[in-house]
Parts: sequence; structure tokens; C-alpha cells
Amino acid sequence: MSDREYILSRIRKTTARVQKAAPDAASIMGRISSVPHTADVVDTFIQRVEHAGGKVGRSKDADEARQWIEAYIQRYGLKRCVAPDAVFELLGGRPETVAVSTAELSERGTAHDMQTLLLDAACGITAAHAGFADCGAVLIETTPDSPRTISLLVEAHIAILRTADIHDFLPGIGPFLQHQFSSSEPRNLTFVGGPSKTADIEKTLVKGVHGPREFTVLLLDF
Amino acid sequence: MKVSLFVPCLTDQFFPQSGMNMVRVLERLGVEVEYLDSQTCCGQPAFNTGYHDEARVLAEKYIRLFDSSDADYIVAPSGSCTTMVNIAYGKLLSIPEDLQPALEALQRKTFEFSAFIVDVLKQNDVGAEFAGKVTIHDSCHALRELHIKQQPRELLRHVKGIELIEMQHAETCCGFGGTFAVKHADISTEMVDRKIAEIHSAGVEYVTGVDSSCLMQIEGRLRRLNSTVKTLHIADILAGDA
Amino acid sequence: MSGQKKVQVTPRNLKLLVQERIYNPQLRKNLSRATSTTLAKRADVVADFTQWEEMRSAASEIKDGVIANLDTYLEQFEENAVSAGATVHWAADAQAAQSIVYQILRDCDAKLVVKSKSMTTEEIRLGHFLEEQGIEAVETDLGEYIVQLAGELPSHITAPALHKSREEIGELFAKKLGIDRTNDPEALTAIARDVLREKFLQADAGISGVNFAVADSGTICIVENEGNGRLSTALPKTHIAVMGIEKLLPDMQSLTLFLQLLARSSTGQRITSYTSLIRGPKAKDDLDGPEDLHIIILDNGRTDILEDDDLRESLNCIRCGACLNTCPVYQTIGGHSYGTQYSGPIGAVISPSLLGVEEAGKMPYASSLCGACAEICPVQIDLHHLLLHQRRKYIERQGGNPAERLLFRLWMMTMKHAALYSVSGLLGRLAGTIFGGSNRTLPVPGWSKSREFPAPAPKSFKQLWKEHGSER
Repeated sequence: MSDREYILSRIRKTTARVQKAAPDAASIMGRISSVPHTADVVDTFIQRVEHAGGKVGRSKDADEARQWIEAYIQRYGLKRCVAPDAVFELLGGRPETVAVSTAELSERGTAHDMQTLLLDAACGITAAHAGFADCGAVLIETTPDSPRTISLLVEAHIAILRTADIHDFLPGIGPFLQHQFSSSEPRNLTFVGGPSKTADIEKTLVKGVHGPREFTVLLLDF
Repeated sequence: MKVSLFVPCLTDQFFPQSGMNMVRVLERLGVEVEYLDSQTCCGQPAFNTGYHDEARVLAEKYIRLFDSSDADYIVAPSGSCTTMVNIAYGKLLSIPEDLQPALEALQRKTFEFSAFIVDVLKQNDVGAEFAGKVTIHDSCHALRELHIKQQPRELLRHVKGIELIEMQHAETCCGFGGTFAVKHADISTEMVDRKIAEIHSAGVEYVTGVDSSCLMQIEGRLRRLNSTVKTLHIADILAGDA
Repeated sequence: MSGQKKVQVTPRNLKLLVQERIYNPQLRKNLSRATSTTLAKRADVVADFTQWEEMRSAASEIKDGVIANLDTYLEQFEENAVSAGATVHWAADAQAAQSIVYQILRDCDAKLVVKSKSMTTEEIRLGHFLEEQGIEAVETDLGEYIVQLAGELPSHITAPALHKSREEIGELFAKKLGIDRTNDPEALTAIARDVLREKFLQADAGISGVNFAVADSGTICIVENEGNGRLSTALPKTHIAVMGIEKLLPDMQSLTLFLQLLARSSTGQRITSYTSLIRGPKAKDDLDGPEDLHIIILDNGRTDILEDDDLRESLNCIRCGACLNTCPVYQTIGGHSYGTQYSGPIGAVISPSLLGVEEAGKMPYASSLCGACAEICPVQIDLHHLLLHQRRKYIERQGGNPAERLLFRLWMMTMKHAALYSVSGLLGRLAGTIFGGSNRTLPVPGWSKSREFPAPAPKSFKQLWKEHGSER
């Protein structure tokens, strides 16, 4: 008997005896799907991102957003920013600092080249599908023009989020995720809730363990 | 109203005054009290150590004995022994099918002493007087199994002359835990030392609670450390008429 | 695979291990700082929700239902994972899982493996095993890296090195990495970052655990803060994920609930820095990510727990570690005293089933049964009741210590008969009078070393009651 058959047969011995219906997850979740928020959702979101060691910027139009990023890159002494073309479009063009689109990255050659570029004081910018006020996190997705490492090997990660996409409660994203994962294609999504951090030494918070030291959400109010 | 006393073996042998003080308070509140003389132990020490067969014999004896009483309620000066009957019997310690109805009836009418006064008799002032600074330790079974937290406090707050001071971490275990206190005496002692540090920093003269077992652990260590702090079962305070 | 060592460590000498640790003031300080900080943070973020209790019971209900239909969910998970391009393996025990990993690594000619934090791989001693096979397996979670350097087991489910002070870690790094001594957490972390970044960039494979497996899409979810989990699953060409059979959740909606509970309960965060949802290996046009994703589904004693009606709910555990933090025994002795990978209340509940009664049967006795564990558990496992079940099973299987058994027999016989009970009470009082002396103390083995034990009262309640009756 294969291990698969062995394990499943052992499980079936119990499940057949216990005879309990599968949980109606949707109705169970329905019982807890709303959280009364006294505070403003956006304010709460900002406060909780900051509580988790992140930062939040706000912009009322594309020009302001672009300028904000330029100022950010200068402030942290970064050498370049890397982003998908789609993000540059959202910003109404590339910032005046050295900006590289991920499309160019993939044209440049090897994964090693890409890593070298990201590792050298870069700021990675990704779009975020949604933000969550209850936990101060955003949801980003890996796509061909938004690789995993763009938010990982870099010194700083900026997630661009439309203010209108902030949910008050994490389970609000359930239907979206369900849809995202309904095809048979590979998928890679990540909730980002702060910079890379650890408290493994005496519970002392240290940022930038293996990933970005800085995590910033740039809210687009437009 | 008639109450049948459930006097745990520890109370019977080591802290009988607390049992008698419970009687005084109940009688003062106009309750008719009976005591079934052939009761012994609910079986908890064996049960907690894993000896269910031995515990079951005593559980059966307990159920048969108290089933024979026509009292309206059964009241014990212990959250832990009340837990044994109300939570462990049947759910954690299997008992014969034919005793199930009797057990369920007993479970509906069995109460820990302070909860009985507040929740059943709906009294919070038993007319007691007590001069002294007192803190209360939350016994684990009373607190987490029976959700007894406010009842003893409410009763103590109404005692004339008392100064009730909450200590930090009142809900943390004192380290008794039945045979744990002997099997893992080192750990148990470290735990009670932390409890005693809180008692001392609360600056009280007395520590009280609803379980003599926890108080025995605390008292045993207090005495060894030559502390001046004394332990008193809540019934000892509530029976006080100065 | 010949010459393999026995997989498990031996917790049998629990009392001895406790003895070594309990009077170590540095350890006590480290433990107390870590547990109290985490508990305070947890309390703060749990207070966000007025419906925390409802969330706990919803989670418990979902897990109960999944576990009771585990075969269906596992098959559904497997089908969906495979359809996205993952390879799914099944391992009945630790040895089987080790062999599967070894085979995969040999097939891709791997010399260097980066591991992200995983209790399941600790359980099967995977790192240890790989080292024996000549494959370098580097722990990349900072806490795990520290205990790996020290040659120790993790002392906590979510904070493996919480037993160590910065000074101890500073000394360890200086000794093992040949660097100048520093005790600064920031500097120590930077050193680990540099060492481990090289490993990430060179690794042939990444091994991770799985926090949750979502059945209806074949997705695995990895929860972490450092980014090592993401790097382990982004850079190497092969990703191997090891999961217990119990990790299943029905769908994404349920997952969002468990994410809320896990981060708050484990580290007192509202969410961790990175929560990765991974379905399949990299997509065709992705610029990074693993070419191959292998998921190993591990039993290793879990179906024994499943079979047991009393213990089944322990499979609901999401390994948050809150029961360790709140446990006054854990706070006193730390994780290493248990001698097992899983420590604290949940460790004492599952270890006798995972390792056998012979090995870990006494673990459930290292508890005062205070119930703080059950009170804090985000999925409402009745941990202290399960400890009682495990104690019963231990006595049933082992018979217990013969002297103790005899004592309880005699005790029961005495308690069964009111007359005998009264006589023994009399004897006790007599002993109290003879041995108790003026301070009314009885010597009791085990107890009296550190505490006074009261002599029986001069008159029992029974006697006082009789006198009371004649007064009325």
C-alpha cells in the first residue's frame, strides 16, 4: 500500500465512524463578517500600518504621487526605483530619479542581473489590490511584470494603493481571493503588513532582516 | 429552601472551621442546612492523576449519596470540587449510564459557595464585619471552569471594615494543581513564589479565595518564608461578625 | 537509506531537565520577558474585536468540520495543487518524509538548502537528517538560525530562541561565526542577514512548512515576518513544502479568519509582515519563483490522534504558541525542559501521541491544570481537559507507578467507606499530634521540602457538625 492509500484509509476509518457534515464555511463566516468601526477606515488603516512599522504617504493626483516618490528616494538615499510599467502609468510617467521598468529588467538578461540590480539600494514599487484597516496590510500579487523579488531583495518597498480599495475587515477580500484562485493557473499573492522584521533577540524589534528595511504604502486619493 | 453541604475531604480534615463558617453564613441567610454524614471525597485526586477507575468508584458513591437527598441545592466551599461534579463527572470521567439522569439533576443544583449566595440567593451583603487588608486569589477551576470571578468580590466588598486590595495577576495559578504540587514540587514552588511576591507587593494582611486547596499551597509557602500574611477561606471572612 | 539515526529526542528525563533549568536566573529572566511582552501585545490587538469569542468559536467549528472530513479535503487539495503544477507526496512517518525530501534533492543535485521556519520539519528532524546526508541545510529564520548554531532544539513554537539573552547570542555568534563580539540585536541581525543572504542567493532548494492549506484551490499559505519564507520560496529553483495532514482549510474566506487569529495570538501582531498565498510553482512568464513545487503531506502519528475521540480536537491547533506564553509552568521552566520539539500545553497534549507513551507519556503531568491554555487558545482547544485524557491514557497503558497505583487503590478503598475514612482521619489527627509539634505541621514527601503541610485539624468537620447539631 502506498503511503497515500495508507494515510487516506486510516483517515477514512475515522471519518466514516464520526459521520459529521462538512462545515458550512460561508454561513459560519457570515456570523462574523462585520466589525463595527468607530474610527474612519482610512485613518485606522494609516494608524495600523504605522503601528506595524510601516509608513503611509498620500497623494491627491498623479503628479503629487510621482513627486512623493522622488522625494522618498532622495530621502532614503536610494539609487533607483524599479516598478512595472503599469505602476509608472498610474503615476503619470516615471519619476525623475533613475527608474527601471520590470519589462526592461526581463529584457536585460539573467535572473542574476535582476538580483544584482534589486540588491543595489533599490526601491521596489508594486501595485496593491487592496488594503485592510483592521490589520494594516495590503495585498500584492506576483505577475510577469511584478516579480516576487521586487518587494523582497530591495532596500525599500512601496505599495501603491487606491484609497478606495481599503477594506475595513480582512475577510472582505474573501470573494476576490476566491476568484483569483479559481483558475488552474499558478498564483502567488502576498499580504504585506510591514517591513521585514524580527523580534527574535530579546523581543527587540529589528527591521530589515532578510527583506526590505522600509515598507511604505502610498495612497492614491484619485 | 434546603441546602445539602458538600464538604470536600480537605475541608473536613484540615479546614473544618471554614466548613462551619459556611454553615453559619448560610444559616444566617435563612437557609436550612443538612449534611450527609457518609460523604467522603469526590475522587478528584485520583481523576487528575489519571486513575479513572478509582475515581469512578467514588463518583458513583457521590452521585448515589446526594441523589438520596431532597435538598434544593448542593453547596460546596470549593470551586475545584464543584468543578469535579459539574464538569468532570460524565464529560471527562465516564460514569454508568443508569446514573446519568441522577448526575444531570445534581449538576443543575450544585454550586460553589460564593456563587450560590450571589447567583441563587441573590444576596451580596451577608452582614459580615472584618477588619483588615485583604486580597483575593482567583482559583483556577472556579475562575475558568465555573466563571466565578465577581461573586466573591461582590460579597467581600459588602463586608464592613474590610479593605479589599486587588493584587497583580490574581488569575495566575498558585502552583497547587493537586498531585502536581508533589510530583513537580520544584515548579510548583516557583509558581507559588511568584504568587506570594504579588501578595506581598499588594501590601495586605490576608489572602482569601474560594478554595482551601490553593490557600493551603499559599499558606504552606508563606509559613515557610515566615511571612506575616495569613490565608483565610472566603467563608471565614463572611462569617465574621466582629 | 541505511544507518539512519532514531528520529526523535527523548523527553523521558523531564524532571531532570527541569532541575537543570528552573534555577537558572538568566533563563527565567529571558522567559519572563518574552512571554509577558508577547501576552501584553496580544491583549492589545485582541481588544480590536468585540467579537473575538465569536471568531474563536467560528474557527473551532470550521476546523472541527474539516478534521471530521479530512479525507475529502486532502484529496480536493491534492487535485487542485496538482492541477496548478505542484507535485504532491504523502509520507506516513518521519522516515518516509525524509526519504522523499532526499530523493527530490538528489534529483535536482542540491548541495545547499535554505529552510524557513517550520515546526513540522523540526518534528521530523529534517535539518539534522540532511546534514547527515551531506547536504547543507541552513535555517534562515533568525531564531532558528540561532538555535541551529547552538545545536539546540527550538524552545518555543513561534519564537525558537526566546530562552537566550542578547549576551548569550552575542557570544554564540562570536564563537561560531568568528566575528567581533557584539550584543546589539541590530548588529547581530545584520550579521545574520549578510551570512544568510549569500545562502539564499546560492541555494539549490528552499524548504518551508505550511501554515494553512486551502483545499478548494490547492493553495499553501506561509506566515512570517522576516521575509525568509518568501526568499526561500522565491529564489531557489525547487521549493519543498512540508505539511501535516491537519493543516487544511476549506476556502479562502475561512483562511482570512484564521489569519486574523494566528497573528494576534502568536506574536500579538494584527497581521505578520508577510503572508504568502502560493498556488503551484512559478507561472510560465514569471521572472522569479521556483520551477518546481513539491508538497509533502505528513501523517507521523496524526491519524492516531484523529482516531481518538478524546484527543481529536488537538488537530485543530494552528501552532500559534499562545498556550505556551500563558502557561505558568512553561513560563517557569521554558521549552527545553520538556525535551521535545513541541513544548508547553499543546506539546504535552500531542507529544505522547506523536512520540509514543513510552517516550512522552509523563509530559501531561507537567501541568497544574489551571486552564489558562484553553482560555487563550484561538481555536478553543480544551487543552487542560486533553491533558487529563492523556494522563488517563498513560495510566491505562503503563499502569502507572506501582507504589502510586497502590496508594490510590488504598485511598479509594478508604474513601469508599465512610467509617474507614473517619478512622483514617482519626489516625491522621493522631499523627498530627505526635509529629506535628507546636507549629502543627506534618512532614509530607515532595511537599515539605519547600512548604509547610498542615496537620489535620483537632476535630474534623464531621465532628464539629455533630456538635453543632446538638447545639441547635
